[in-house]
Amino acid sequence: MIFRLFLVIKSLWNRRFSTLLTISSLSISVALLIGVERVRQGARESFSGTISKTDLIVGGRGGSMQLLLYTVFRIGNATNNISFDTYKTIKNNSQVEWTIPYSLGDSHRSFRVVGTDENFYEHYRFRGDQILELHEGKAAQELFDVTLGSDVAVKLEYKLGQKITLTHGAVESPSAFAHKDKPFTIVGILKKTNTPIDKSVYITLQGMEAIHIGWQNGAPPQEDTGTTTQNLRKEDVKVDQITSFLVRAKSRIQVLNLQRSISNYEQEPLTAIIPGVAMSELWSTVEYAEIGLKVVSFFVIVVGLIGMLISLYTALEARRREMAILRSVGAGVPTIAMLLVAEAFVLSVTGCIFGVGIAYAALLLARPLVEAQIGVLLPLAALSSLEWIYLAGLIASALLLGLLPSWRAVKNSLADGLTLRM
Amino acid sequence: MIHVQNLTFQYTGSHHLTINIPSLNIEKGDQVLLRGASGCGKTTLLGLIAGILTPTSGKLQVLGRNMSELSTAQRDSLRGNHIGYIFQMLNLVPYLNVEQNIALSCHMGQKRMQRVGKDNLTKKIEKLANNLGLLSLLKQEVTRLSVGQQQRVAVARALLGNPELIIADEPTSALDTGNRESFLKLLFEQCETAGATLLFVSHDDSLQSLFRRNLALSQLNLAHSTFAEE
Repeated sequence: MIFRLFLVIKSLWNRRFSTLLTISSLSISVALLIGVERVRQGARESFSGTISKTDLIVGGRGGSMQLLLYTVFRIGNATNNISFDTYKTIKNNSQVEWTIPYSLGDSHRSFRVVGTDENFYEHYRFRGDQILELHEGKAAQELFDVTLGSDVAVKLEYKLGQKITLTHGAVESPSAFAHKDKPFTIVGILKKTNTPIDKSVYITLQGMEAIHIGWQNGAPPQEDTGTTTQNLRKEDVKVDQITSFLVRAKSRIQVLNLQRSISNYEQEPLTAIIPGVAMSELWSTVEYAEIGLKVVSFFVIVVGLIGMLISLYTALEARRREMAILRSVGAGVPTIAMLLVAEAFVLSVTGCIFGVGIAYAALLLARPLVEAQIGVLLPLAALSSLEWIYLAGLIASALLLGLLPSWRAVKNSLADGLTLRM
Repeated sequence: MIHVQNLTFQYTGSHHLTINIPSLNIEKGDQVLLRGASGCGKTTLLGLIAGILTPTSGKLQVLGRNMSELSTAQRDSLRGNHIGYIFQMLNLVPYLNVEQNIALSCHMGQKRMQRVGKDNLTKKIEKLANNLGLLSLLKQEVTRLSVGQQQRVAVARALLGNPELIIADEPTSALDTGNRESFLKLLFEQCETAGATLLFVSHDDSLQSLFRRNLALSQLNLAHSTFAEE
């Protein structure tokens, strides 16, 4: 048996140029398959890692997808706000560990403005257990303080101490009303998180309320309200409404209960969603891209295998003499067939080993770059069971394909017998 | 060693017999020259004896085994374990060195390996190589050998593990006259030492004087003579 494997390897080595080409084409296929799988996993993980440790997202009456989009991804707008009293009631519920309020609706040069409080900086978690950290400065505390997400600071080249004005509404347009009378001072810049957090600016709930004093039904005040950044104090501004809030329950078991009681809250119509469920629903809408990637890598494997088949097949004619010699020393038809299938085995296994090696080397090199550029963290973990299944499937198909040239070799050697063909 | 009685063979799809031999006996220890021009059924007869082909009718006994009664696998193992086969030329697997080419027969035939003993394999190969003047070439690539050296490697492979029967299919046709005689001398010597029966096939009549026993296939094989007369 060992000698036969030795024969196979010697024979492949004898044709080392075509063997090398076959192995490299197979290993590139394998590397691509694993690479695509890792990008897919990484994209999925960073997507679902946008928000973590939050059990419920609560907003006014409306669609759950809409609530997820404007709260977590800062896309679209809320149809209804919720009253601050309702928020306080739920915040003080005995089953609730912490809450993070969001007040949305304004923007700064196309970046969303989020009114929130200190809970945001303290409790917000993403990618498992990562917390928000300040790159420089401090969290917005005073009425006209603003803390920037990392992308905002980088793109607009803002420095601490600079004053910026906010715009009413989420979209930048000439007709949009700017809160020019109440500029905000940049007091802090958050570290990069590679989540939508980076693309917003953060003020206090009171700050959000202050720039809207005197507003009626979304229209600016008709006359001067007499309020300025100088004469307003944080304690004097009463928060009336917020847009949505995040809830962490004290125990996971209570989440469904809590969700039900929030949805049935009698004073005000509310929507409460479990982020994980809504996120996977959202992800399923981009599944076709995943499938597309998979189909491409599948065909790359098919091309690699066909390359192997061609190289085994074309070598056969030159090996008829070899087969006759083997027959003369007692090799039977099964031995001849086995040698050929074993060649396919050696080629595919070597291809897999090199392919995995290439894939890991490429992942290691590309990881920091990909994370910095698109915020996808490529997983460097050991081969997953799915990847093992892919590799096993590739080797199994290689063995099946190896049967084709081996069937041909058997036919040849039966026809040739002990006649030597050049 | 080989007993033939009314042996016939016809290729599938062919209209006439290729082999029709009423009788042929080769005894243990014989060194037989089987003469015949090309096309008289030499290769077919050797294929039958080596167990690559199965007789159409009649009796063919090789080493006491009735070839018609053996399965394909049994015939393969009979050939591997008890018959040494030497081709006209190009006997060697190009990607194995001299030693590996000689060892090939023992690796493919289990009984041969047992007879040699796994631990003695190198020693036995060296002894044979020494007898055949190949000792210094054992680690050589076979592509670098002369034709004469290649044929001696083939003899060493055929003899390794003491098979009872050596079949040589025109092994000297690629050699010049001087080399031919010394090759034959070596082959006779080694077969005698090993106690192997030699069936030597050639179209070269000049070799007749060197053999103890001569057979002309054209006289043995009736299929050929009737075919030739047509």
